[in-house]
Order: sequence, then C-alpha cells, then structure tokens
Amino acid sequence: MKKGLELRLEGVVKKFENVVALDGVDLKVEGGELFAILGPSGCGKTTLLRIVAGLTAPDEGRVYIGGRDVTKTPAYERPVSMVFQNLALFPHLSVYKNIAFGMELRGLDESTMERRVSEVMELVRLPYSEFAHRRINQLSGGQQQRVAIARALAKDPEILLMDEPFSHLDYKVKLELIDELRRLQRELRLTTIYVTHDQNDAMMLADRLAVMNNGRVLQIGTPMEVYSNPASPFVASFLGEANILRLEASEGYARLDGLLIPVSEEGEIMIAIRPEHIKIGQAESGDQVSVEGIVEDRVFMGPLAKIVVRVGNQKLKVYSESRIIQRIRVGEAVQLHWSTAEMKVYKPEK
Amino acid sequence: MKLKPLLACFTALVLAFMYAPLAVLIAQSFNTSKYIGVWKGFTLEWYFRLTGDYEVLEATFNGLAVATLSALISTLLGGIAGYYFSRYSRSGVADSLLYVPIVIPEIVEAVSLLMLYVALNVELGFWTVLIGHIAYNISYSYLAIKPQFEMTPHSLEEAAINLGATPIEAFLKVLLPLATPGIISSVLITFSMSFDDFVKTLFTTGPGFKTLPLVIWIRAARARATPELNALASIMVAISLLSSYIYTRYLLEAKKEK
Amino acid sequence: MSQKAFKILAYTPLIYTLIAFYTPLLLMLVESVSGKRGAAVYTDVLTNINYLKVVSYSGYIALLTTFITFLIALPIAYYLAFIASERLKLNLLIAFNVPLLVNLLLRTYALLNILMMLNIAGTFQGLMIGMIYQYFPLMLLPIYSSFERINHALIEAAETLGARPKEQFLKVILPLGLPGIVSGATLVSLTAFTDFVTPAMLGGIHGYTLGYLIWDLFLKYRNWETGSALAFIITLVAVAVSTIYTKWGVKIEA
Repeated sequence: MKKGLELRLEGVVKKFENVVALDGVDLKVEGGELFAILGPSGCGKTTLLRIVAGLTAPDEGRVYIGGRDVTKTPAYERPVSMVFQNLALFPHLSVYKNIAFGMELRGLDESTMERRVSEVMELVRLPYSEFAHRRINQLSGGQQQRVAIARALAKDPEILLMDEPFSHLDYKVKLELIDELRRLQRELRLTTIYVTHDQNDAMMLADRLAVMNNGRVLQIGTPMEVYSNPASPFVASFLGEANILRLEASEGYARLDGLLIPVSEEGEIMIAIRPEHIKIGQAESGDQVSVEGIVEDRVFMGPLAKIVVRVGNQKLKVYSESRIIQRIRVGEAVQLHWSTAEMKVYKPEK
Repeated sequence: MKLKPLLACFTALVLAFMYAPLAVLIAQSFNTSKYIGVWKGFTLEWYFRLTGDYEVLEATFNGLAVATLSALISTLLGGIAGYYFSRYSRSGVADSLLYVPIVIPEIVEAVSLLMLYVALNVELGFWTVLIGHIAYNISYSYLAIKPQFEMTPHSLEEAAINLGATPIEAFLKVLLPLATPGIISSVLITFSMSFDDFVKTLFTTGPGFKTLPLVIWIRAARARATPELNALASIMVAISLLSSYIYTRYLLEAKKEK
Repeated sequence: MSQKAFKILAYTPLIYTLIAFYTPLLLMLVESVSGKRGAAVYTDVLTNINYLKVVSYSGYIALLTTFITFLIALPIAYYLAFIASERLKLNLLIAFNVPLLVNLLLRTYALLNILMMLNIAGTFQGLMIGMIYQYFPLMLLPIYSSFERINHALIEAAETLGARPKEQFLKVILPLGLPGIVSGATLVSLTAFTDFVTPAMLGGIHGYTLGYLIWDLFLKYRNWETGSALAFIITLVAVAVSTIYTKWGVKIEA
C-alpha cells in the first residue's frame, strides 16, 4: 500500500518583528508516520506547521517533501492538506461542496467527484445520504470536525497537517475522534503531523513526537522514550507530571531540607522525579531515597489519586491508587521513598 | 506579488482624485485672480473679505444653531426610545416605523413637509426647518444608540443593583457610560446631517432664514466667480481634517487602553 | 420618574415621527388626488412620455454610477482588507472619508470649479465624474466592511486545497463579501436615482433628472398634484427596494 511522503526541515528560522518564532529547526518525519509536535502556546509549533503548508515563508532554511525542495513552492501547489484549528469550513457551501472544493478547482467531472466525496465521507464515518447536502451551521462540533478532515483527505494529499484540531470539542467527542484518527491514519498510512499543546493527545496518537519551546526542538522520540528519558526538566514536566527539585550536590550527595540524595554530579543540579515513582511507606532496600513529610492536600482523580506532601520547603506530588490514598488524612505525617534509578539528574539550564 | 504594487498605485490614484477638487479649491482661495486656472499671485484677500461677508456669516450661524439643537434634541429623544425599546418592550414596530425616514428620498421628505406647513398655515423659518430636521434625525439617533444598549448585557445592570445601586444609578453609572460611543456617534451624525442639509431646508425655510448650503447654491447658481466661497470651503476642509484627526486619535487612544 | 411618564417619554420620538414624517406623506398622497383629475393623476404620470424619459434617464445615471463606483471600489476594498498594514488601513479609511465630511454643497461647488477648469462642466462626462466622486465612498465602505469580516482562515483553507489567488478571490472572497456589495449597490443606486443637487449643479442640460423634475413641478410649475403623485410613486419604489433588500440580506447572512 502506498505510504505518504517523508518531510524534512533543515535549519528553519522565522522571525516576526522582534520575536524569533523559530530558531533553527531541524526535523525529519518518516513517510506514513503520525508525528506530533508538542509545546506550550507561543512555542512556534503553529508557525512551523504553516511553513510546511506553504502559508508562511521561512526567513532561512529549507523544506523538503519526498526529497523535493518545496521551500519556494506556493501553498496551492504543495501535496499537503491542512485541518485548521477553527476548522475554516466554508459557511456559504454545503458539506458536499466543501469536500469537493479542491476537486472542483481541478475541473474533475461530476461522477468522479461524487464518488470521491462519498468515499471520503465513509472514511470519516459521516453517512453521505444524510449529510452531503446539509449546511455547515446545521452540524454539531464533532460532525463539523469530520467534514474538515474529509475535505483535507479528498485532495489525496501526501502529508496531512492538523493544527490543534480537537481543542474546542467536548471531552468524550474528542476521545472518540482521536481513536478514529488513529484508525484512519493506520489504514491510509498517510504522513500526518499533529500540532498540540495537550500532552495526552500527543501520547495517545503519536508514533513519534517532538517537544518544542521558544522556537526550538528540545527532544524527538517515541512517546515512551521521551516520557522515560526526558532531555531536560522542561520536557520532564511538559510530558507527564514531574517534581522538579533544585539542589546543591557535593561529595556524592545532594542536600535539601533534610533530603539526602546520593548523586554522582557536583554543584548545582536539578532532579526530576515523577509522582507515580514516589512510593508511600518505608524504604524497601538500600538504593532508595527516604523522606518524611506532612500531607497538605489530597486530590481524587478517578483511578489514581494524588497527595501533596510538604518536605521542608519543598512540595512533592505523589500519585498512587485511590484506595491507598483514601486512608491518608490531610495533616498526617507520611513516609515516602523512591529509587534513584527512577530519578533524572540535570545540570541547570542557562 | 506583482498585484500588490499595482493595487497600491490604483488606490493612490483614486485618493488623489478624491482630493484634487478640494486641493484646487484651497489653492484657488489664495489666488489673486478670480478665475480658475490662472494664477496671479498669493493673497489672503478673500479670507478678509469673508470676515466681512455678512450673509455667509449669518447663514453659518443659522446652520450651527439648527444643527446643534437638532443634534441634541434628536439624540435625547432617539436615545431614550433606543433605551426603552432595547430593554422594556419589543421593538419590531418601532424599528420599522423609525427606519422608513432613512429610506425615503430627501426630496420627497422636503416636499411633504412643505405641504404639512402649508396645511397648518405656519410661517416658514427657523422653527419649520428645525422641526423637519429633527423628524429625520431621530431615526438616525435611534438606529445609532439602540444597538449600543442592546450590546450591553442585562447582567451588568443586575450586578450593579446587586451591589446596592438603585435602577437610576445603575443606568447612570453603568449603562450610560457604556453607551457613550453610540451617543457620540449619534450627536456627530445628526449634527453634520443637519448642518449639511440642503433640499429639506430649501423647501421648508422662509424669507430671511438661510443656511450655508442655501447661500452657496444661490451664489453658485449665478455662476459668478465667488472667491470668498473658496476661502470658506478651505476653512471647512481644514476643520473636517482636523476633527477627523482628533476623532481618530481618540479612537486609537481608546483602543490602546483596551 | 414614574414608569408611566417614562413610557410616554420613550414613545415621544414615535409620535413625533408620526406627526412630522408620516402625516406629511399622507398629506402628500391626499394632495395628489385633490386636483381636477383626481386619482387619474397617477395614470397621467405613468403614461406621460416626457416624465418617463426623465425617470429612465435618472435610472440610467444611477445604474451607471453604481456600476462604475463598484468597479473602482472593489480593488480598493480588496487592497484595504487584505493587503494594507493595520496602520495604513486606518489612515486610508480616514482619508477616504474626510471628503464626505465637507459640506455637500461645498463639495459639489469644488467639483464644479474643477470641471469648469477642465472645460467639461455641463457635459455628460462632467456629470458622471461628479456622480462618481460623490458616491464612491458610499460604495467603498460597505464592501470593505464585509471583506474585512471574512475569516482569513477560510482563504488559507482554500489555498491549501489548491486555490490560486484568483480562485481564492472568486470562490471565497467574492461570495462571502456579497452582502456588502449588494448593500453598497442598493445604497448608491437608490440615492443617486433621486439626487437633485449634483446633477443640477454639474450637469447643465444633462442634469435634468427626477429630482429636478419634482423640484420644477413644485416650485416652477406649481403643479402640486402631479408633483405629489410622482413623489409618492418614487416613495413606494424606494420602500419596496429597501424591503426586498433587507429581507434578502437577512437570508444571505443566515
């Protein structure tokens, strides 16, 4: 089965007035891959997507699609389709006309278009007979989303771009659509780039992802890789939750408010430990860090629950099963321990 | 993009076209020669003559008087109606009734007003002109102010009352200030429509009461060279430019504060 | 203030309008049938070949003005809405509106001046130039407003679907800007149709339009019945066109 084309970005730089939106981005997305770009608002991810689409031109750098340099190619000549954040469905056209828009421009005949539209509507699970001739404003949010995706697919693109497509939907609807997107993407093997600030979306969907901040790509890898081995404290706290501690280390130990942590680094360091890796109770074996603290808050989160424990001047977030946390009261003293193997140590960022 | 400079050029040309007549007039107002197209030298004579031109000055004064009163009265009445129909009552009928005066051709309004005055056997002059202007201006005022009130959510007044304000205080301290843009628009629109008005004024005025447009018409119709008018026109253009500059600065300042 | 008093105050504008606007119209209607010919005055007017010539001439001028101002306003509205920077946009909008603030008669007088200087005052071309000058801003503003309101994402979506700039304009911008275009066209054609000042001052013998005819009927020939009848017919036409437009306009927006 045909695979979508690969995408390569080399040294892409983009400045707006005095702000540097993209500070030299290098990226490669494999053909047929679902690649997520994750980052906070303003990190440059949307700008990056627009450069791939051809809607914005980079100040420096090159864009290659399928090995071909498309940096100077205008958007309407690139084999790329985009699903916009606010959908951008044409309000003056019916569902059918929206989806067929690209085909009409190319002058395809009526029967070919009809066939393609119903094909594509079936892919997004939108019954043709029922929806084809409806107006856009008669559809629900989820239905409109499907039309937007169908319209992008009708063009038969090599690369599909999605800019925070599900951010405005109800939670349940969003989950449903994310599942469908995965299914669709696997079936079509279409190279897809999914931009989001929601780490859960990224983790659920992506084959590989990139974490961005301040116009730079901080780390690239599979969700599992990036989650288990975050390259910096920022990545650690952006993908998943993390407790970040700043400490001074000397003579093999880092000290902070009664915490004594064995480390091999020296000087100022940062330690990241995930809430689910902190265990409640006495330390089991030697290779553990052990602390005692007071429970300040208790939060129920469904299958898991969280307590916030004050240790000296630090606050640690701890996840555990709800039934365990149910037995702990706010104000109680509690023992915590974790393995140094689960800890990540970093030198502070400049 | 080759289109961009082409469009920019075109826009500049049209803009020049719009200002050419005004520019010529202003230049002409400083021209010693009375005749257009011949430049005989710089002079301020016409401006001096203007200060002594009693007819023009009186007409300007008349126009200002009518315009000010018309603006104030119609804004007040239109505003109150706008407030009432945005809050207390369905406005369908009022909307339609007040919409019609805007759509009717000016000459029809002028003519029908004349008939009213003739039927009532009133003497034509300042008051007949004013009444006619207000009839027309109330609609504009209503249409400028009502949306302003409609746009302000009821919850704001309710919040004020909740915090201890009486309905009147809520109106004065919350609603009115928020409606200010609409009120200012109304005053400006009705004032300039009144001051500029020609057709209605012509039909409803009597001997001895002239406004500026009437004077210009009479003089221009005689096709005699009227350099004082050029001076007058230049002054008015200057005033328009100045007031739009001030108004826009006001708008920009308001935007910045947001 | 009591509720009652307030209510009365609020209704005052309506009452005022009824007295100072609708009653005169009614009087005008009455006047039109009060002559020797009675209601037949209407058939007289509608079958009078001279009147019909004047009316169709006015219509012709109005349509021509609408058409030409549209052609000029369209590219400029596009430039302002999609190409000009924010600051330039604001300055240009003000610049185009300032001439409107100058008194109508002074503006027409300025036009007369320049037309005389170019020796085309009193000609048909001179009149048309004058009409275009007066009505261009009225056409520009509505079109610009509706262009400005178009969501840029829609144009970009079209671009990613393969639309070239010309296609983006024809398939997205123009359809979505249609309400503004219709609004401008209606405004200009209706107002130009009954315009008196501009044709009278600039057109010479070519300036004999509907407005001038009514003027003459009242002030020169003192034929109030016919004048009223004609005026009433025009009123009906104006109201009909506006109503059709508003109903249709509401449908487009929906």
